[in-house]
Amino acid sequence: MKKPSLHPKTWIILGLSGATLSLAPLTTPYKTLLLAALTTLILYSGTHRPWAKLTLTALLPIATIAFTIQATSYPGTTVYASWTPLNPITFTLTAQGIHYGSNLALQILTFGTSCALIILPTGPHQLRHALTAWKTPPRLTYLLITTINAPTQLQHYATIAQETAAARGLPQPGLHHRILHPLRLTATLLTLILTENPQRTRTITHHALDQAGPRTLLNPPTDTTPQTITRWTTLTLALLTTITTYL
Amino acid sequence: MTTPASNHRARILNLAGAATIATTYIWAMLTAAGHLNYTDYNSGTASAASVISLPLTAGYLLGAILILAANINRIPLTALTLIPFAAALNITAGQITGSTGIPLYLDSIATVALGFLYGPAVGAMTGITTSLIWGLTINPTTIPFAAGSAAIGLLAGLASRYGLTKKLWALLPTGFTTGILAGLLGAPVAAFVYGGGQGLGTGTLVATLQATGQTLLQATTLQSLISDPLDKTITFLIAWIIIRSIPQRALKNHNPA
Repeated sequence: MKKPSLHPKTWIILGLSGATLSLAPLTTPYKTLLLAALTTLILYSGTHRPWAKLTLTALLPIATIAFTIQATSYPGTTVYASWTPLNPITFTLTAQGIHYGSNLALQILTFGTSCALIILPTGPHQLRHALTAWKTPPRLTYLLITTINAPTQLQHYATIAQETAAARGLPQPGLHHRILHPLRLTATLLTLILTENPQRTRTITHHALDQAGPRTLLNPPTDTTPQTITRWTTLTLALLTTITTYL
Repeated sequence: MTTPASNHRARILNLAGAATIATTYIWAMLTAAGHLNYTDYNSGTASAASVISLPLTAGYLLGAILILAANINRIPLTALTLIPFAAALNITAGQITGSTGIPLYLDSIATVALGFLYGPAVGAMTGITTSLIWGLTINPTTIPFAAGSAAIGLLAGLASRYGLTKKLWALLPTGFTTGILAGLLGAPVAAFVYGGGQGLGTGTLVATLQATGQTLLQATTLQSLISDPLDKTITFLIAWIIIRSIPQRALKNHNPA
């Protein structure tokens, strides 16, 4: 991942501002503009590859499904086509449905891209710096950052469990095995996690997780006054715009 | 360390969190049904539904954050260190189930398991952490469902506390009831934030229901009431089987609820 060009606090505030605006009742052209602005920020951060992957695998399918549902079943008045496969189910392609579906699809894409702005340019390490700088409770910071890293550790455990099972000659072909395998693997993973947990607990106790007082961070990211002004201005503008949409 | 003062503070924050979630849900229902007049707000927007998305998501997230704040310093460290792995298990299971196209989720097995083992606070926190981190890393659509995830963990913990996990005949209806509550909480998010388009299976169901003349909220509520009780009954059963299959020596250092 490319080195982030802004302070992690700035990325987080930009992401939160974008998320707020994406859920506000903006019209479709404004939501399109918002998506363009968020995409520009993603390009600037140099994280367009993971964002493209996220968009193609998670956001676009959901946005497409939301658009299709509304385009074909929204109770609109300008009907382009209709299909009754079975009474009383009637699918109708309407102008209002297409309009509402487009707005929802844009809402999903802008909200998802805003969330991506929080995590992709920062990563767990930079995110921890920002949360610590904001004096987030150390336990909460631990919980959030460790959860981001946990799937990798879980994959490691799963590999151990599967290799052990293979070494013992346990895997067998067949439907019965395929159905029970995920259940057995989950039980094995939970057992491994529970067995190692006392050690993990001792380690973080030794790291003084619950000790009060300021935290010292190695190589904290550089913050600047223009960035501080930018992020609070952005947040204020986003909130004012949001309030305006309700007035 | 917990003191009477910190316990009192936690109780107030937990109640405030639950009240915020409940008030948000009621507000969304009344607004969607037209009992609260927001006509002026809708000029220039696609639909009345557009005004609900932001307050709904903000209210649910605020409630979830209050519950997190109430319990983060109260739960034992042994439980805190388990939550990230439980969340990772939920995310993996949820991603796999979501890709199959079946109208189920199976994304709260570890939430329910930790609720059974450690009680309602840990269960709720596992649910919230799963929704937030899953949303930030892989699937941003899960973030507004944090309140529903908290309710699942909370009810699993309460079920364990009141002995409903000892017998299968008591466990399965508890899972079913949890599914109804989770479905009701999640339905407005599914409707107003995602237009019913969470997955192929659930999306098809919502489209079909809306094509019969139901409103979007009615369609997502019905879809949730079909999918969620079944999903949570299966989830409670799987979590129960998994916990019973874990060797006692692995559980002995933990603090069952």
